[in-house]
Amino acid sequence: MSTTAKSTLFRDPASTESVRSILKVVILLTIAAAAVASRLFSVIRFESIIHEFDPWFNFRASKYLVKHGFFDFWNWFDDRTWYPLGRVTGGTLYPGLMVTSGAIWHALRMISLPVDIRNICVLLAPGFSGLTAFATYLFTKEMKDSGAGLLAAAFMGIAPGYISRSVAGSYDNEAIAIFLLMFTFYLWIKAAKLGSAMWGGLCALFYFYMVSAWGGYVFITNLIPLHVFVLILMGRYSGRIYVAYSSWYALGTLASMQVPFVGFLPVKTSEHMAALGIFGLIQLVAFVDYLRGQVPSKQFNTLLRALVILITVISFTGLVTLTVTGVIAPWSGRFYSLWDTGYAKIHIPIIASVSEHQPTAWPSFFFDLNMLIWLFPAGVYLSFRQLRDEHVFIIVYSVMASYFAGVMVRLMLTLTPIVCVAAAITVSSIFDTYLEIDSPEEPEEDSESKKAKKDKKETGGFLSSKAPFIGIYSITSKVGVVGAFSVYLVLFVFHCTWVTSNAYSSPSVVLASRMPDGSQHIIDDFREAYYWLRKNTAEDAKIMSWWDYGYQIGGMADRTTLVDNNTWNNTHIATVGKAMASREEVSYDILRKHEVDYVLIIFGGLLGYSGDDINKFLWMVRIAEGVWPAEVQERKFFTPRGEYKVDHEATDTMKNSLMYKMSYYKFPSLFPPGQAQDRVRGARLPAEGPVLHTLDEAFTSENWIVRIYKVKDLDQFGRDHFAVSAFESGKKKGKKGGMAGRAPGKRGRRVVRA
Amino acid sequence: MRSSNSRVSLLATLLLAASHLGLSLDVPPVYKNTNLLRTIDASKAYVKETIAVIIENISHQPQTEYYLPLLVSGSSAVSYVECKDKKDGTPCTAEAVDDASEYPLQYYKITLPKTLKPSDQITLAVTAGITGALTPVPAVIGQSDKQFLSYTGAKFVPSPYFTEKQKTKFRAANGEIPDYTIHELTEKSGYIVTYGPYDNVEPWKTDAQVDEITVRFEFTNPIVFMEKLERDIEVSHWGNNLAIEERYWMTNNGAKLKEQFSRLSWATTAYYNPPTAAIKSLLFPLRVGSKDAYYTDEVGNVSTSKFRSDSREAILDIKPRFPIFGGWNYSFVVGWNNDLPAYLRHGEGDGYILKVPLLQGPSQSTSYGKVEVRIILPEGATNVKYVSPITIHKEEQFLHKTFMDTIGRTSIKLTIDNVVDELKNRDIIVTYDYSTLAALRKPLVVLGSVFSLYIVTAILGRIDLSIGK
Repeated sequence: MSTTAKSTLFRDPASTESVRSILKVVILLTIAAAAVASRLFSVIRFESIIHEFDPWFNFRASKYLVKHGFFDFWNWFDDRTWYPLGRVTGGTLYPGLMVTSGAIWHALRMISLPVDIRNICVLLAPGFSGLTAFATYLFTKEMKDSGAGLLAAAFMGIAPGYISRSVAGSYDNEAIAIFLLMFTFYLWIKAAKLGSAMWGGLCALFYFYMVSAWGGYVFITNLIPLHVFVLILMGRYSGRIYVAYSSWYALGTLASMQVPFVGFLPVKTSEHMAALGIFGLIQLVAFVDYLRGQVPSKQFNTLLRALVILITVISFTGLVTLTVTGVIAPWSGRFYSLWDTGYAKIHIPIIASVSEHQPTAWPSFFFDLNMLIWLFPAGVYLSFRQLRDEHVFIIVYSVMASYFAGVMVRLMLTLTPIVCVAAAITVSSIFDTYLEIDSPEEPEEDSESKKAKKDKKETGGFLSSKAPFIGIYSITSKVGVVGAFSVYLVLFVFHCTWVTSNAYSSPSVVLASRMPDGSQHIIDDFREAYYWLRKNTAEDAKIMSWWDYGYQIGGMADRTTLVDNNTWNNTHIATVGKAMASREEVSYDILRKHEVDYVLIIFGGLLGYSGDDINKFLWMVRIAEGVWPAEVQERKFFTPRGEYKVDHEATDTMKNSLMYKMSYYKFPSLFPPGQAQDRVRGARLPAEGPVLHTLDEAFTSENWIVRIYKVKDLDQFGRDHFAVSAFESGKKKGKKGGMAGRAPGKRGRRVVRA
Repeated sequence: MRSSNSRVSLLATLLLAASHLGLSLDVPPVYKNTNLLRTIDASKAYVKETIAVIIENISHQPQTEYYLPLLVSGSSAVSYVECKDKKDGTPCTAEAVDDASEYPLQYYKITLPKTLKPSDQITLAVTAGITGALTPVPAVIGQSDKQFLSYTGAKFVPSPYFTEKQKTKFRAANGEIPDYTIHELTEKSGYIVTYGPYDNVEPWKTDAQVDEITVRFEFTNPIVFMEKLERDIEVSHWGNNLAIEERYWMTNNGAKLKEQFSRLSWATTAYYNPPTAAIKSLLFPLRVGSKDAYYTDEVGNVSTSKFRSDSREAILDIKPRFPIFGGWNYSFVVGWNNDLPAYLRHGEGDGYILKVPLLQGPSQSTSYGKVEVRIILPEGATNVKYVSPITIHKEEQFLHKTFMDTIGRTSIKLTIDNVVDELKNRDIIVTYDYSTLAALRKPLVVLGSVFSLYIVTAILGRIDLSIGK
């Protein structure tokens, strides 16, 4: 490839080959170092800590893996989550991530480097981002040349769209999955180019690794068949494609079925049917191709083409029939929400309630990709100009990923690599053109020679061969364009650093604020409360909280939870939602039946922490309403004017809900009478706070962010708790009256006589 | 001394074999206590009992051994006993006698600093730390209530000898003493309750009625109890560094909370900073020159700590994540580094002498259930010997394998049960041999492995694996 690149500084490519390769290695290493370094903001600013929610589960699972070994991990039944159901964790997770860090842990032990598993988990994502940059380099090199490859690697290394999911501590499946995605695609391009079963097999191997690591493997499962399909439609079927696809599909599918969580899905669900269909189609096409070789007749050819289309239509109809009859599982809810963004909100509130499943807002494209987003279409256009088989892949990938990134914020992640690649091709082409120091002397002659050269090199392109070569004559325009792009690139680096530093480097477990003197003040309420639970509650205490905090409680407090971020059982989550949204009488029954010892809620009213449970409350109500429409109604939580209020205008249903009571219990007493203020919702609260009958406040963190309540035991005399509290308050009043005038309590010295 | 441990057990075995398995040890009445003053100091989270006694040899032979039993009833246990000649300060040894008696008396055999001739006198000062002797009464209190502790002990020292005159002084933490047993000659002034002086007290008889004294007094501090402390002292010759890490499992043995914890009242009273029975912070006075202090727990770094180190002092001030009320637990890790030269001397030949504090710890009065000190010496150190300032209950030598080690670092683990902070900041002296070759082991191993890796890669790179040409 490097021979096609026009050398500007080194006139003789042969003699400078070794210098170039050393330079490439050095540049790639520097890019990898920059990629790792830019992800370390949170470690330097805070500490080596696991971030957010899901990573806490992955971390816990990794700890389990290194402690109990691989086979125990495989058969892990976790009775400390989803109480009382438990979770077959070993069979319902993608083990790739944990196995990777476990393997690293063991490898380091082997060379006598006993690194803590936490540090491996924290630094896994930055480490793999270096590898991703390398994989992007390889991929782009296949598309254009190594110059574009280096640019793409640099873009990939620092693009915020990827950094957002791979900062140190963000120990999630995506941490390794994007590397695997790019590397699998690279291997696929290589296989398709060479028509080599070995590369196809390698591609299948990495596809297997990807399947074991991330649910997003379905993207590969559909994109590669789509690429093949488009190539066939373009009449570019070749033996190379056949060998590459067949070896990839057969090996990759068999390998992917070894992951317990995937199992027979590749032959049973709609998401995987495209790959299977293309596999059948390519066999037909191969057969037709063979026949065409034997019978060179145009009419026969047309007939065969019609036959192929017919068979496609028939098999598609068959697929639809099988899906309707239920032999093949229909699209899952998450996939429906990819086609219809409003679908989840109506049918599956639990999916819609996750912020990363929301449609993407326009500014976030610019925020996450900055200048790459406007270089991206140019890169796609350049791909059209050359349009070799691999360029078709870029185009297909671009179209698909752009759509998905528009539908779901989270899928910005899959768009980022192709944007980096396309933008790198654009910038590289611009530099190729404008960095040519010599101006072309004779346009005709030059273009003729170039044309000849290109015709020789490029087999697949048809537009490119017709395009005349046009050089740049004026030095001013060269300097201008190159200068402008250099400035853009520098600005891009600044933007990436700024975004990474400001938006993506907060662990969210620890909050930072500034003291009046400018020094950093750490708000550590989550860990305070979780650690309290860990140290001062019974080992087998059951904690009920909204599912967002399930993984964190499991990871930090090490206590049994009712629901967690795995969200596999909607009814169970709805039960928790109902307990939170109902009156105390109803809730207490639910709590007792689930043997709940403590209820944990997040309340941001004192500090102005907006991600608290009152703000998430409507989702709890909606999810509960989905299961018990008669008992929980969202409408009742709104004022007659349709407002969601927590102050004195709040509806009775709201005021009597357990969540409201737990959030504001004793809160108004913190302020002078009548001054109680909820800083998140900017509401002035009623002077008298809610009264709890069936729960006791057990712990409240320093800034009141986490509040833990202990569920009262049954009354010793068999009364209900409302009667008890009524009796006690009555008695207290009576006692006060009876003892009026007497000094309360007994004070003074009492002496024991021997 | 390494042998001290085995000597104690040997002695105990011999004594056990020699003495009949009776109710108490049979002590020959060869002394008379001329004057005995006992001070029970309960101002800390444990009891410190000091007995100053003038003894006289009333037998006809010169004597060297004096027996002193301590009353350990219920959950209490003796942490340490130390003794010295009160006049010139000569220390003498006090060793526990395992007499298997049923009555809660723990005998200590004191070897006098000098042989006592007949009718000679000597003044002994015996100090004992007793843990678990203080119980909160009432056992549960409100969050902002005062905490009271109760001490129960014998009115007289259970001495096996005749005592002409004895007096007991009980020193409470402050003047608020709501209850105390009143015998004849009982007097309270300020924070001291005095019993005696009593004349002509007969030797202790096991079956006689015990006159007890009970004092209940206010205790405004938490009762810090470390169930376990693991202390690592790691010597690095290459890094020229002495790294110390301490892992604590802490609990507050004070009165438990009556209700659940109320953040509201905690936050509203925090403004006045009232005395509380909860552990709010711990102050670790470190040796001068300590640096790079850290404070973490099982869920990561704790940001509420301050560390100050200058030429005069080094202080690590830590705040637990939450206030530790009675019965609450908390575990944490603190660590710091020191420059090695201040603690290590090069002896003869390959010999090195290390002198480090065996125990450090918070400045608040603290008792420890179990302390494990691991001294990790460099890889390849041999001939390890130590001299301990306090009795070691269990000793273990092992290899600690960590960063880039091939055989592991020579380490010793010293286990001490039931320690009080009176014993902290005493230096242990460790001597070991460490040759230059052992010091060069690690760089050579790393060099060798990198080089062999290079050779293997070079060879593998030259193998042609392609099928057909």
